[in-house]
Amino acid sequence: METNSTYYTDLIIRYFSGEASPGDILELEAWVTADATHRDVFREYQKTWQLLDSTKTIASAELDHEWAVLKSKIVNRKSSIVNRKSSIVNRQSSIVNPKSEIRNLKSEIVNRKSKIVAWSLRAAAVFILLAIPAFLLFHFLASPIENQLAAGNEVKEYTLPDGTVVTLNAGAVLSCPSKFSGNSRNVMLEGTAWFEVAHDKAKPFIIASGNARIQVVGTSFFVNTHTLSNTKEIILASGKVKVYYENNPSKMSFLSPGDKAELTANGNAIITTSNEDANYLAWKTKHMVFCNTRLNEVVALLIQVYHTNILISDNRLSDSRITATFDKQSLESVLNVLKATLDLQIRNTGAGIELSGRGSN
Amino acid sequence: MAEAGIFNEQILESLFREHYPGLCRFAQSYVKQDEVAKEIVQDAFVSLWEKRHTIDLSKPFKSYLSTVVRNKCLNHLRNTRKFSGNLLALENLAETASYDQPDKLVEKEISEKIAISIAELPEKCQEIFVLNRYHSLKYQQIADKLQISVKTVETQMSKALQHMRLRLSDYLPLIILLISPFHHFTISLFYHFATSQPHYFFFHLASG
Repeated sequence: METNSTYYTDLIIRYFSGEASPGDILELEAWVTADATHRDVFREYQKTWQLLDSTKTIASAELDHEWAVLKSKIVNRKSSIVNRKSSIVNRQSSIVNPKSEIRNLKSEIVNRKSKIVAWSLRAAAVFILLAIPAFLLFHFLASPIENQLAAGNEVKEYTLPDGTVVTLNAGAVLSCPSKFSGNSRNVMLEGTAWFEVAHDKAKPFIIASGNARIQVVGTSFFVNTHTLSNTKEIILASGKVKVYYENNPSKMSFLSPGDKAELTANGNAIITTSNEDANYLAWKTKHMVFCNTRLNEVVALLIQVYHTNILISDNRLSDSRITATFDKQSLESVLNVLKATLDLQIRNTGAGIELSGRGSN
Repeated sequence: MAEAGIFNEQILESLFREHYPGLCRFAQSYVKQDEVAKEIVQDAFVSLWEKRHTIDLSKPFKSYLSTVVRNKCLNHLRNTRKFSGNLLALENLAETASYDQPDKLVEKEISEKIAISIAELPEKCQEIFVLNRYHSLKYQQIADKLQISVKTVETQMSKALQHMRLRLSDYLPLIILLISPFHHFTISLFYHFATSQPHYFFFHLASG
């Protein structure tokens, strides 16, 4: 009985996926019409199949290609009619006009060319069909990515078409369409950025970075896709976001303000903690808080914020502790405070700024 | 009213863009093969273009195209000896193509449910299912690509569909609403009933 039902399940699936042979179809027909319960099973699979197909969408690129294919078919037909006409004309005038032979040859070349174009278009269309990735299903990439915003060596602020404000840290790249069409606003990020997302409940804002996805309704938060351990970090300042992996959307985490999520490179864990780093946004705000912080950590942050190479020439100095708050100050004024507190010597070498001294504790 | 002389390439293009996706779904429901369905729909548009001077423009294009596509599908099934009147009758296929886009909210929920259900499948099974349903690869092509037997592909496909059938069972009654022309009225009213009492609905609609 069990093997029997598997046998007919296979047959039903074969039928709906277009794999059934004429013999299979006869067999299935006999089985289905034999019993009312068989009929119900068949119909349930049919509906499942329909449901799966109902959410399939045809990407606009595919539609463009299909139209190109149709157009080439029509143009071919048109030109063959024209050619037939011109060959009649040529036959009549061939004795009188030697030039017409050349014209005839030319039109043949054009005709052959258009055939090649038609075939290559057909080939391209088939290739595109095969290449459509599965995540179209998730309505991702509903809109084509057109613009690349890159911050280069400095921190830059951009306003996206929906009013979302993005601040990109040096080296970050954001890919974003020139216009958000479709059901969601999709962007791709590599690097560190701060988002203030414009509120639009109907169109969720989705940030993709590799396999990781952050879905937002309207909120502000920080993303870093370049961490040392190759994890992706999201820190939420306000609102609500959902984080998940593209290939596993059922496993997701919701963040509340102050939460930090880490998504691992191999894409199977989401670690949520509360954010302890007061300076995570210093690269944007130039607001830094140090509370009994070691000098080497301070310097590491200064390098990030001011994009200047800073060296500590004495190891003992690294362990010196600092408690201070800086707000939108220049590097020079920050260094002057450090110099006074720790009794440092500061030297600008060609390679960067060198800190030396014995340290105060 | 459009006149025969005005039927130009622009009109064909706009008709194509409007009707192509729905007609492909329509053809697919008959012939079951994506590639064949697409070819048939392409041919239907070519024949529309060829007949543009003689066609009766007072009748809607939609019904003309649906009829042409349906006839081509039935011919294809007969020519390949895959025509089964009994099965087609059971499938209760529509007479004309339905282009109505499903309700956005419901569609979104269903898409999510499908995505989650796919994610629940074992890795291999998931890969085979996605290659077949969303990349339109045939069993043989999948077998070649993954270096496995066609029998394995078939077993995994059955496994996947059995799982989808169970996981989507709450939504199955909806399919009738989704494809019915008046779903805009019915869907919001009946949606909650449909999810909480699927069987009631299933039988009600099946009998009605």
